[in-house]
Amino acid sequence: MIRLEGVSKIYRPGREITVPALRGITLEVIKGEFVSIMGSSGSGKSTLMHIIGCLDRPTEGSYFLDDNEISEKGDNDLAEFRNKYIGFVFQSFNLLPRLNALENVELPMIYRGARVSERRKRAAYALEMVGLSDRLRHRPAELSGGQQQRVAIARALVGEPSLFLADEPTGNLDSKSSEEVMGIFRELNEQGITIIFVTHEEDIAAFTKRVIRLRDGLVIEDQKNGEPKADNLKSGGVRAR
Amino acid sequence: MTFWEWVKIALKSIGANKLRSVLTMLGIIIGVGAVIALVAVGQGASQGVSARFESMGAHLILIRPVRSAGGELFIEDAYELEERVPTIEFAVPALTLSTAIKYQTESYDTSVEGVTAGLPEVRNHYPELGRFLIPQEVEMRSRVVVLGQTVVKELFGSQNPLEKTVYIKGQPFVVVGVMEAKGAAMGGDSDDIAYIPVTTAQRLSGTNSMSTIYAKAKSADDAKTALNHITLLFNRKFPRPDAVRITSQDELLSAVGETSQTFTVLLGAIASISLLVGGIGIMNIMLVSVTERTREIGIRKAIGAKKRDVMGQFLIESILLSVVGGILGSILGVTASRFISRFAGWPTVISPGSVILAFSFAVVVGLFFGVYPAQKAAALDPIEALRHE
Ligand SMILES: Nc1ncnc2c1ncn2[C@@H]1O[C@H](COP(=O)(O)OP(=O)(O)OP(=O)(O)O)[C@@H](O)[C@H]1O
Ligand SMILES: [Mg+2]
Repeated sequence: MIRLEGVSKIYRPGREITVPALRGITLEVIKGEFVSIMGSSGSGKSTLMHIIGCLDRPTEGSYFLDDNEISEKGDNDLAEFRNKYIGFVFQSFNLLPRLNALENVELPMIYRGARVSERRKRAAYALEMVGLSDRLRHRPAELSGGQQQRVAIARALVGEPSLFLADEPTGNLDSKSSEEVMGIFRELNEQGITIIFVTHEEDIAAFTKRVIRLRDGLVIEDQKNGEPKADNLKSGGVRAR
Repeated sequence: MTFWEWVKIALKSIGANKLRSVLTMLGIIIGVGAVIALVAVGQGASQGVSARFESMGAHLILIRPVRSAGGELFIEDAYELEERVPTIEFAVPALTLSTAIKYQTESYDTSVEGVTAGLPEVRNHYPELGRFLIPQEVEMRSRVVVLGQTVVKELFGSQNPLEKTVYIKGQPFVVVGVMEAKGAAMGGDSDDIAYIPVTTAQRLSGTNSMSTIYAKAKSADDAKTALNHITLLFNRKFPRPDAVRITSQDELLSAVGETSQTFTVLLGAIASISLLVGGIGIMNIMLVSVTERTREIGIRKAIGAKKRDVMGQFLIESILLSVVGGILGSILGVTASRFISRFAGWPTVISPGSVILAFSFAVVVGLFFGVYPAQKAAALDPIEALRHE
């Protein structure tokens, strides 16, 4: 599904200053996996997610998404990958405040060029999957945090992505809402969608079969739940260095 | 994504900030309105001028002797013109005296013009009461007079002047007619005049030489040929080419027409500047809007909007602002023109051309000034845009 080879990302906020956010990440995730990424603040989790999500390109190294070398593609190609293959959920929801739930969920389909009737139907269906059929006409401000995040999940789902990414999706939610969201993730994964998400909380990470830990832009641990680390390193699906 | 969906999205964001959108459009509204109204005033003025010239007599050619250059004209010259220049329909000799006309105790200074019976056709000025001079009266040196409206008003007030006797240079004249009102024209009041037979005028003034010959060409085209022909004729007659001054009303008309055309273009150009300023207003607001909506742009890009999607969204927004501004401005311009004619009394002519021109200029301005902000929006990096607060 995805493969990163020696991916590094160096930010240059000033002339002389360089910030290495990722320092050579090599990692593979196969289709249907459910992966969580952990690490302290500033360890590079979001940077990594952005690269995987085609929102950004690595400074060095290569990133393959289904055999497409992403780091060599242009902006418009990246936009198309984001639109067709990837659903991205942000910690801060990132809904458009002036649009209601249905219109927000429709957006990716608009950019895909879907007809009105088609995208209405799919948006309504996606909202039904996250349990918000009764909130179609509500604007984000009229929804709770948990509901907003579910709208964002529906928006990520509406295009039927093969890769579903979430950067701290439960970071702004209480424990009940978090569990609802994780329940949705699990269902999606059971339908065969590959999911990678970032979290700070061990008990949320415990939902997943595989946990990758970052520190200072490096993978320091890559484990499958209930299995020893060493075993994991050999298991082919995962390689860390 | 269909065009109408673009428009719907743009309308939504314009509607989200109504006051600001209206203020932005105000620049375009005033610009378009000003172009239409000022061009209407300019065209109204130029048509008014042309109409006045035509009322003075279409295709009129004036021939005046220049005494210092040895020029002198006689009645016979007029008859000769009529006979020998085929493009001339009529030629009327005129001998003008500046003198007083007296009626009972009233006296009024006016210009008394000795003319022949053909004058009404030549000058496009006809009697309203009674009749004009007839050829026999010219032949007989009759003492009859046809008065202009101003003279009638001064001497007779509201009385009927027909058949009354007035005195010119001590001689009694019978009023046989009153000319129709013509109003003020270039160079004074055309109703402040009295016509007597040219022969009578010769006797009154003691001179045979004419002040002017009025000639009327058959058409505008003929006027040019006639002018050349007349010039040739008089050049043969006098040793100096400047002995007579020949002016054509049509030439004057086209000169005035050109002047007022320039005037109209100038007014339009000045108004266009305000349209340009309106365009800068649109650019300004669109730039603010791009900054304000950086996050929105980030979100749209993150879920798959391409450069041209974002570009299109902002471009359509600025075009829409200018189109709506253009429509409202056209309405304002037309209304203002009507207002100007009604309350200031200036004639205005609203040509569809100026409305279309102003409107399309507005749209082009919106497009032109929308491109830069739209490009700026389209070039934003999604991650940086999302991080923007
Ligand atoms: N645009 C940027 N310019 C400069 N430095 C950046 C930029 N974005 C991230 N960084 C730096 O890169 C490093 C990794 O940032 P990143 O956002 O990936 O961390 P994170 O693991 O997601 O942290 P958190 O848990 O707080 O979200 C940090 O040191 C951060 O300061
Ligand atoms: Mg982060």
